[in-house]
Amino acid sequence: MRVLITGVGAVAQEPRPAGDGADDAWFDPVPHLGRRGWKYFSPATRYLLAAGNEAIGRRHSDEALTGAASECFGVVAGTEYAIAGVHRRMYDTLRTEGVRGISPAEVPAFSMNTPASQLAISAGARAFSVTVTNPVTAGLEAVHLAATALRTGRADRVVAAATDQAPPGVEGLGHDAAAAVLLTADSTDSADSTDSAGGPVGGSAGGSCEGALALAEITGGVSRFVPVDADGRWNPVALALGARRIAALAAGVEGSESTTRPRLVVSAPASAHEFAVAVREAVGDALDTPGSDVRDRHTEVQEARHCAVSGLLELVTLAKSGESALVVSVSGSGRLTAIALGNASRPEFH
Amino acid sequence: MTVVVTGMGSVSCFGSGTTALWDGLLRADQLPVPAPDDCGLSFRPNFYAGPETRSPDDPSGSAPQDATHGVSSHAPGGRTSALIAAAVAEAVGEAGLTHEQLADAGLSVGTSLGDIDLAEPADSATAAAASAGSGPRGSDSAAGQAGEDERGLATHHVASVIAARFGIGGPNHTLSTACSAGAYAVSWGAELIETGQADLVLVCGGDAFSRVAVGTLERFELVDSEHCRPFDTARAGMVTGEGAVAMVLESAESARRRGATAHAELAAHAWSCDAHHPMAPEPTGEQLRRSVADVLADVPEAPGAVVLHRAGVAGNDTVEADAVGEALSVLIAPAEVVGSAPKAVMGHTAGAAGVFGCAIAALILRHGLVPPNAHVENVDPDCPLAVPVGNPVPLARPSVLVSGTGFGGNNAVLLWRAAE
Repeated sequence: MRVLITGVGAVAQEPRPAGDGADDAWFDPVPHLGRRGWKYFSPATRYLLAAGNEAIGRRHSDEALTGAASECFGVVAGTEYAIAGVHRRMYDTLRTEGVRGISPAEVPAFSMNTPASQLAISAGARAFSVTVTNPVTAGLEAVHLAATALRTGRADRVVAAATDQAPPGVEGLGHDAAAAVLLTADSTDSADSTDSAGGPVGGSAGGSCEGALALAEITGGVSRFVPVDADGRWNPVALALGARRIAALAAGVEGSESTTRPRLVVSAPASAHEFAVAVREAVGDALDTPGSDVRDRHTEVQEARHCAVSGLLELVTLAKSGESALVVSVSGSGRLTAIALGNASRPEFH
Repeated sequence: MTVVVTGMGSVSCFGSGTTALWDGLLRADQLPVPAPDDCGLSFRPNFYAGPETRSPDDPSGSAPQDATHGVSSHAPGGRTSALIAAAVAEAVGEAGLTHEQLADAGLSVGTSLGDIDLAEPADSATAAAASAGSGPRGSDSAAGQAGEDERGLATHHVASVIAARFGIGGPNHTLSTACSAGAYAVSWGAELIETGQADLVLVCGGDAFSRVAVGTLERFELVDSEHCRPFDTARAGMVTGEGAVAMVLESAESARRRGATAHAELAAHAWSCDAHHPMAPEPTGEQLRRSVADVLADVPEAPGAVVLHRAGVAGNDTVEADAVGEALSVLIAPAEVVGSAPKAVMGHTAGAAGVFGCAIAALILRHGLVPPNAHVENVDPDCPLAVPVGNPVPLARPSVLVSGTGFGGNNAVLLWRAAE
C-alpha cells in the first residue's frame, strides 16, 4: 500500500521585523470559515480549520461526511501552544474574579485536542481524531502517525495537520501558522501483505483515491531521541543511530522510481541550530554509503519559525514542488522526526 | 504480532507502586482530600492527591540509580514529569531493562495538561523561577530567560524529560486526546511494535493537580463536591486525581528472547471519534459501540470484566455503559460481565486514566479478581453490566476490556487477555 499526499493547505504569519509587536490581524477568518460559527474558536482552531479544509478540498459550508465514509476518515494534529494563551488568561481570571469570570463558551479552548476535534466535527472524521503535543516536532509526528494508521487500516484518508499560536505577548517563540496534508491510502498495487499488522479496524482502502491527484508519496517516517550525556554533550551513539535510521529512509524514496536523489531538509528553532547542524552532518555521514544519497547534504538548516507547524510547512512546500526529500524536524531537547517524501508521478494519477 | 506487558509502575493517591495500587483498589475505601486551593470556586473542591515527588532530576529520587546510567535530564520538568519518572522507574525495574534496551526503546506519553504546575504557581515570583529552571540547552524554543512572560511555556516537555532521564532513544511521542490520552498512548505504543517500528515501548500517562482544570470543569457543574461515586444514583460529577502509570510493552518475541515474564497480552485495540461536540459525547454512543465491536470481532469468548472510563458524570456514564453493553450483547448477556469504575477511589487522573485502566486490567488478569466498586449506596439501575460492591469477585473469563473516552468524542478501546 502507498500513502499519497492528495491535498495540501497552509496559513502562516510572515515573520515581521523585531519590535513590530504582536499582531493577529494577519489572518482573516471570514474567507476561510465564513461570517459565523467561529467566534468562540481559539486562533489555533481557526487556523487549523482553514488549513485542514484547504487540504481536504472542502468549503467551510460543505456538509460533514456521514456514514461509512466518515468512519474511514481520520484527523491527526500536532500543536505545542494550542492552550497556552487561553490557560494564562483563565488562570489570571480565576485568581482575580473567580470561576464566574470564565465564559463557558471558551472552556473548550482549554483542551489541547480541541483544534483537531473541531476539524473532525466540521469535516465528519469518525475513524479517529488524535492530537500530538511534542514541542517543535509534533507537526511531522502527525504525518508519521497518520501514515502508520493508514498502513494498519484504521482509515482510508487522514488529514495530518499542525497548528500553533504562541501565547500573545511573549517574544521570540515563533509565529502563528497551521498546515495540513491530506493523506490517501492507495491500494491499487497492494500485492504485498506487509500491512496486516493486527489492527481490528476494517474497511477497504481500495478505490478511495480514485480521481485524486497525488502530489507526492510518503514513503516512511522515523522518530528518535538523543539524550545528553553527563558531560553535557549529545550522546554520540544515540545521534549516530538516529542518523542511520533517518538515512535508511532514503532507500524508500529512491525506490519510488524517482530519478533525482532526495533533498535533505533539516528544520530547527534558532536555539537548536547547533544540534541541528550536528544532526545534518550525522545523517549526511550515514548517507555516504553505496546505494543511498541525497542532494544538498550541506544545505543550510532551515529555521523553524512556526513552532510545531514548521516541519510540516517545509513538507507542504516540497510536496507542491514535486521534489523528493527527507524532511527532518529537530527540537532543542534532542528529538528528531523525519518524513521521507517521494515523487508520486505515476500514470494513473495524471 | 503479539504485544505483551512485561513491567508496570504506578504512583497515585494510594502511594507508590503497583502493589499499593492493587491494595487500594481492593480496599475500595479511598476518599479525596481538600484541594490546596479553592480554584476560584465558591467551595473548596476535593481531589485525590498523589504522593510527594522529588524532581525527576534528583539522583536521590525514587528512580533506582542503575536505571539512569549517568544520563541526566537537562530540562527539570514539573510535577507530572516527576510522577511519570517514578512510575517509569518501577516499570523499567520490573521488566529488567538494560541501558542498551532503553536506548532503542520507544516512549509514548499520554497527558492532558503536561507539567501544568509550571504555569500555575502559587505566586508570580515562583512562576518566573519555575520556568527559568531550564537551561539554554533544555529549551525547545525561547524559554530559559526569567520573567512573568515565560510562565509555563515548558508544560509539554514531559516526553523529553522522561526520555532524557532514562536514555530512551527510540520513537518519542506525546498524545493529548483529553481524557482518553492514556488509552491512545498505550494503543499507539502497541502500534509502533505491531508495525515493526520498535521492539519495546514504554507507554505511560500522567497528570497533576490543575486549578484551571478544576475551575473550568465546575463552570459546567461537572465536579462532585464530595467524592467520586460513578455507580451511585446520587453521583454529581467527577473529582480530579493525580497520578502516573507506566507499562513496558514489547513484542512477545522480544520478551521470550529476554526471558521476561509476560503479565498480559493485548488482544486488540480500536479507535473512533464521535465528531459531534467539543465536550459532550454523542448521545447514541454509536462510535464507541463500533470500537468495542471492533475489538470483540474475533474473540473466542466475551471478556470477564470491563474497566470503564466512567467518571461520575451521569450522562456520559450512561452513554458509555449502554454502548459497551450493546456491543457485548452480541456475545453474552451484559449482566454476565463485571463493570469496574476505579475512579471512585483514585479520581479522574485525566491523561493517566487510560493507562491506569490498562494496568488495572493486567492486575485483574494476574490476580483473577475484579476489585469491588466503591462508594455505592444505591446502584445505578441503568447500568447493564454487573456491579460488584463490598468484596472482590472472581474473573469469570480471562480477558478484560478497557474503555477510554474524552472531550471531543475521542474513543479508544483495548482488549487484554491473560498471557500464554
